[in-house]
Amino acid sequence: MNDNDLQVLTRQLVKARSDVTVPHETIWERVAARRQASVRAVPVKPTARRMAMAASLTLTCAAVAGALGLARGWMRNHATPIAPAMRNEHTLTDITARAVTGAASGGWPDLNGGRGQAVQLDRRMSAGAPGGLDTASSVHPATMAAQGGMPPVRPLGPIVATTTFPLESPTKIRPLSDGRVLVNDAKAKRVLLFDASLAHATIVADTTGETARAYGAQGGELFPYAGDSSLYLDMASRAFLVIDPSGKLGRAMPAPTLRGGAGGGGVAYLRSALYGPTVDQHGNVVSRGTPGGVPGRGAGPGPATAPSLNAAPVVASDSGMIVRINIESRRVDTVAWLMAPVRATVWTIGPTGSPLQTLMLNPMPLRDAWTLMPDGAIAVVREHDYHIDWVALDGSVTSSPKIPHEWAKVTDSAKKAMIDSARTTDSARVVVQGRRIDSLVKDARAQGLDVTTGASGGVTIGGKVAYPPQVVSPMIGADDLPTYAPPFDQVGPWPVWADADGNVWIQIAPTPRDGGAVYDVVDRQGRLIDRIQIPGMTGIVGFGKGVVYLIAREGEGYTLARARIR
Amino acid sequence: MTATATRRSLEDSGSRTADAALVAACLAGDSSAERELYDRHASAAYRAAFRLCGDSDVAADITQEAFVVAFGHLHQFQGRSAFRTWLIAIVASAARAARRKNGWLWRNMASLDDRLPARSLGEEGSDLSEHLGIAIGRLSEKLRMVFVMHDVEGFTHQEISEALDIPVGTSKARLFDARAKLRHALAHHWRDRQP
Repeated sequence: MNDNDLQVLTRQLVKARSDVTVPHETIWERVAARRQASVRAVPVKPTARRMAMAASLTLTCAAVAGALGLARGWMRNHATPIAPAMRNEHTLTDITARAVTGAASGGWPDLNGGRGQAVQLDRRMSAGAPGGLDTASSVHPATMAAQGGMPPVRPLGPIVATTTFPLESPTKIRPLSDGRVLVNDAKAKRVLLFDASLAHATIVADTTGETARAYGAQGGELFPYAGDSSLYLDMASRAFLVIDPSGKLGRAMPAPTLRGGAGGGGVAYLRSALYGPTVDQHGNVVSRGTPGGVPGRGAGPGPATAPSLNAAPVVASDSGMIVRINIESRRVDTVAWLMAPVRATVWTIGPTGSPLQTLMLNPMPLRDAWTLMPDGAIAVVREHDYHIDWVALDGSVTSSPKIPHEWAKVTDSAKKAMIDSARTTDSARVVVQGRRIDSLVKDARAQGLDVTTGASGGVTIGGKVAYPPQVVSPMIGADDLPTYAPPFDQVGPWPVWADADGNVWIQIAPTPRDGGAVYDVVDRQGRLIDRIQIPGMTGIVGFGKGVVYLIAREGEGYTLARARIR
Repeated sequence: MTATATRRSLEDSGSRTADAALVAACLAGDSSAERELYDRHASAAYRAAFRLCGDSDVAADITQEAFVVAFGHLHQFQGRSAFRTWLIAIVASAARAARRKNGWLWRNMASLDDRLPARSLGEEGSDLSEHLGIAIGRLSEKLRMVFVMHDVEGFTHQEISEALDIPVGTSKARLFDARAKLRHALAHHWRDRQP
């Protein structure tokens, strides 16, 4: 193909699309109205005007969309590596694909979408300069008054140290006060203690006799504990091993277990990125409650639902909880409630003709996020209007003002495209997964394994591995999607962090195409004090005093880096 | 100069004169002149916006913003370039801003095609033009703007230079890069189509 061929093709394309209908009068009406009003801050587009007049309705719609969401995370593996935090660019397809294939994929795809180094974002376009855009028309009505005073986005400070050998699959780090860092390198089945330079490491736990085979066959996880001591959760024994500040393994104590629930029983919830479990300085496990029950308590079977194909979607719950469990006494306290995209189910006809209960997919769920503050308080970031509720240790709750944010309006056509695309992607997933299962069944039969097909079309191989029936999931309607895009990232498991100074870092959406994720930094008074862009292809995994720890993929492994915040 | 080029030059000349008169009338407070300016250039602005963003609703928003900005800053229009060139520059600027604000949506829509099973040639809507449309959508913003303005909208490099505030050489280089990427993207489809 040469340039002439390309130009001929371009002309054909132009000709084919020359019948683009220009909404001539509609646009003129809007332009004329804005010219007459001469007030750039007033949204005059009919749909925008309606929204401005009905802010409460908007919020209601957003809540409904959130209530219809599905808890995609329950489908994920529990041993989620740190890698998800590296995600720099989230797409609807990823959201949907993960929602529907998370369990099958055995973890997260390579998500490094960011490119290049941190850049200073150009904010000139929103300043009303010639050629710029008036952003007011997309300002969320509930936050219009809070606009302004947004600090410019700046790059993160310099990287001052990096690990000198690749980590295989780090799942969590535990920074100590003197700059040393504990790392759980799960794939390598070891816990490492890096010195302050990150250049050298000693083995704290592995599968050899030198550490008494402390790293169990089922792996484990790291947690902070009082002072500079840490906890290593051994999944096999369901016990916490205390790691003292010198890196020596000490006493063991049983970990709080969960009986039943959709998150899995036992201590599996303690490895789930979705639940964000951590341990505060007072010896409490702080975790999300699970849909089936609360850690440490029995889980009920949930409401019985008779199959009815004409029934409205059954929304299991529209909220989640954060619980605090004292490791010693096993006392469980519910400390906060979250708006959560939980499971809405409908009855459909399965591949064998029998009724099948299926989760509804929601490509744009709304959910609150939370983080544990250094002093043991909990910051809950509310997604619907972007403010923080602070839950103190004594249970008292204070709300800070709405955080300034450039809300992005979701047009009707975009909603429709999103739903259509999610549906297409799910259909493709059914085809691909169906072929994969067919192949596995064929291999299993060739090996003489027992293959059974359930009444609903699910397949069990060898009595152990079970695959549910592959059906196209029902999708929420375009009208159920929120009017404004969620303010912070919905895909990464941990969009909110607390730094060592007690500020909250919130990964805002959208992630810029160039460079890495942008974080709003909010102080304890709820003021937006900084906006920081991390380098491309990196993700935040922890904080130390004045520093942030980043992870970056390096070949087949990962590199840990320490960067100054300023 | 070819006959076509001569005719276009004359048309441009007449058009610029008419536009200049309308701009002067607008500045004098004649609202009907605004409407006439809009009628003359709305289609071109909308088409350009649509080709840059690929979404009719967003294109309408961009066109709206562009005209509001243009009318609000008419006093800054110095007539060194054609009004249409100046307006399309604002459209391009508005599209960039809209992309920044709603980039995740645009990316979502663009990237969905990546995940869909590839359609074989011969299926409905799978002709080369469609592949070209998708390939244009995957160009970087800088390259796509220049390609759309030059090869689709018919701007000269000089006009693009003025509109995007870049050197003429940069415009040419970006067009070269854009065409190279498109040729590469379409190469195997093109080969499959050859007898």
